[in-house]
Amino acid sequence: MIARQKWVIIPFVDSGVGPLTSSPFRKALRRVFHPLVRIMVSRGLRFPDLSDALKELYVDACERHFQLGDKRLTDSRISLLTGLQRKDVRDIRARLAKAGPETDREGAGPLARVVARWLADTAYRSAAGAPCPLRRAAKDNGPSFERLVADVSRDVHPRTVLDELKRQDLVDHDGESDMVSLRTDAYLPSRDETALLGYFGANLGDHAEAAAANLEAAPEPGPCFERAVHYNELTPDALAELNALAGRLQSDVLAKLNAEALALQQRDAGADTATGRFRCGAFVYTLQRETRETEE
Amino acid sequence: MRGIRSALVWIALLTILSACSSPTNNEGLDDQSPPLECIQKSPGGEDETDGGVGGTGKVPDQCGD
Repeated sequence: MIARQKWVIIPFVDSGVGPLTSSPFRKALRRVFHPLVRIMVSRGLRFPDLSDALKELYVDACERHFQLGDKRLTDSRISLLTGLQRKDVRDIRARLAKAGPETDREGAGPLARVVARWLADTAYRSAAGAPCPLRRAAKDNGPSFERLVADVSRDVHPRTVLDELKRQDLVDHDGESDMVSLRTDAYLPSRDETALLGYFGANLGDHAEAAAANLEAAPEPGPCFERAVHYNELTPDALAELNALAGRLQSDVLAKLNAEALALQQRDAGADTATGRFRCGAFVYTLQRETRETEE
Repeated sequence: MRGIRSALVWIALLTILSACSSPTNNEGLDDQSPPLECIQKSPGGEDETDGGVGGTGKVPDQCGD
């Protein structure tokens, strides 16, 4: 269920017109949009398609977050807030109402959970914390790949999961010994377009949610942890060193959080209040310029 | 006649026993479970619980990429 904000105070209003460089807010948006527009163009999403989608998002955002107490949100108010024509607002609202409420569920599916459990559950990892190679099917009740899958979901067959993980190059299956080994420290579905785009949207979307919540709270400090280390004037060697260090440190943090989150989810399974979701992400971005120039 | 009936009973019993004792690798899992795609892609489907660590990129190599 989506929490509706009853009253929104907008401390900074960007009322100007002009290009996306005419105010600090627009400059920031330009930087956020730039890689998104690049990926949209490369995937054939044309501007008119995006424009239609954005109109829907504007109306949807108003309905979710800009209600005035218990008063009915009118088309006029949405038109006023968004700059959209009232006729467009009416048509979009009718379309959204017909489509019904969109589900908030963003599960990554059983494959992600199988990998996460293999990495975090002490039944499937060594004392040193590494995921153990597993017998595909155990004769006794010992740890096995089939038991791991059954621990996660009884709705999906272990053979199907194994075949898909193999296709995605995330596990090795030795036919002779019938042992299955995990080849990754996270679920990276580069060969599954749907899952890959799922993570693209979910990870980036939640990061944007956190940063937006912090902006909305200004001038008070934001409620969400969101920060980055950033330096320029670095040599390629320095970049490689930092890249590797950040990879090691962040992997360690994510592995610990994964184990803790799984343990807490299992501990509180079935509790009435177990309705929250958590996402903590990490990323590294490096750029080596040809010449020394000032950062945009 | 009685001999035939008795033989039929034995055949039925043996069939049931062999079905119960045949080895299976599925440990009680339904072989007819839906394909993975149906479960992964059904919005708000049966796969209620979520959890994992994943994304779009790998850990950088020691010497940079």
